[in-house]
Amino acid sequence: MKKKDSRILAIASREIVAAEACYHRTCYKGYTRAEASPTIASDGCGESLEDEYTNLESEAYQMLFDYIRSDVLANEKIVRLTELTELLASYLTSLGVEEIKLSTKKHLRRNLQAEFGDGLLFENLLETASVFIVPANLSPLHVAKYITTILLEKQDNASQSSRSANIHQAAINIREAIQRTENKMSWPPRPSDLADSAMNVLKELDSFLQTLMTGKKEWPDEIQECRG
Amino acid sequence: MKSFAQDLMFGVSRGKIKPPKQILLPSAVKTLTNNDELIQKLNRCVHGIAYSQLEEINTALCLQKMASTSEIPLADNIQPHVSTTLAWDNIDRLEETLSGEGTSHRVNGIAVQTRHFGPQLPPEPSTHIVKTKERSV
Repeated sequence: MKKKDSRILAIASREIVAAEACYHRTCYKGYTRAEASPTIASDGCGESLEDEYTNLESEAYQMLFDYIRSDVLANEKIVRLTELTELLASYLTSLGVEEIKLSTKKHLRRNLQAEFGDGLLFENLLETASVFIVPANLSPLHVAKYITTILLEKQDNASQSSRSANIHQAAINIREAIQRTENKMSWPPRPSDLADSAMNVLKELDSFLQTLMTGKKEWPDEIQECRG
Repeated sequence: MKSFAQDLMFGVSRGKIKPPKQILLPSAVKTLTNNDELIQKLNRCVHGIAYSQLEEINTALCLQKMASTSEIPLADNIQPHVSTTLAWDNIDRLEETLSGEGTSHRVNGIAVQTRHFGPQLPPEPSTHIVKTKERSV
């Protein structure tokens, strides 16, 4: 419209949706691409900045495609689309691009579909906004292995968290028992207050220490004799 | 094991509960070395009460003895009706004064008792000392 192209104006003057008009992807890209500025063209620098970005982008895409072929498809991995977006961004950064255009990330899915066709499935596995990329050649056996690994990891995490909860609860119980203890020492302290027999170890603390020191629920006989 | 338990009780209660170890250890260190820095370090490691608190206890014990009615102040851990060995020794500084008067003479006494097994007599009621922050007499 800004270019006042008579062909486009003729189309745009009608109802676009009613006319079932759509842009061919590459044509639209070529049409809307900014023209080379006259200063750059005149000084003979060659490619414009836009073309340079396009070249780097296509190079980064090739790196991404190589990764998908060598890792995702070969190892039958399920990955998030956001992970691939981040990987593409890192490739672009490594190639020297400072600012990544929004369109690069936005068109990733379309480019992947154009490259791999039915080889990749884009599924919303968790019924959330995140999209997963599933290799079409994923075998049921591999899916079973994948699920089993995740379940085992979950179980490990659950047992780890329950262990932490037990330790936390034991510490809380001992702390509360100590804080409940009354200070019966007279002022100034008498010799009897400072005798060995005056020290009453709390039941909770005694149980904790005997397990900590010996690994057993009861004191071994030789230690029991020493404790009197 | 009791040492660990006493450290934990002293640490968790933030010094409100003072187990025997946390009083006796700095007290022994003070007697042996008279080094307050060592007592402060023990306190930082939760092994003993602070030096100022130790001084408060000593002051309170001294005030209690001064307030008692008995002629000879004896340590509370000396048991009555138990055979006792006494040893006394005088320490004369014998300063050189013009008249020979005003010299220092100190006498130390030690009471030794055999350990007595069985029921012990209840301690005599001692004078009540109000807990203050006094650290010297």
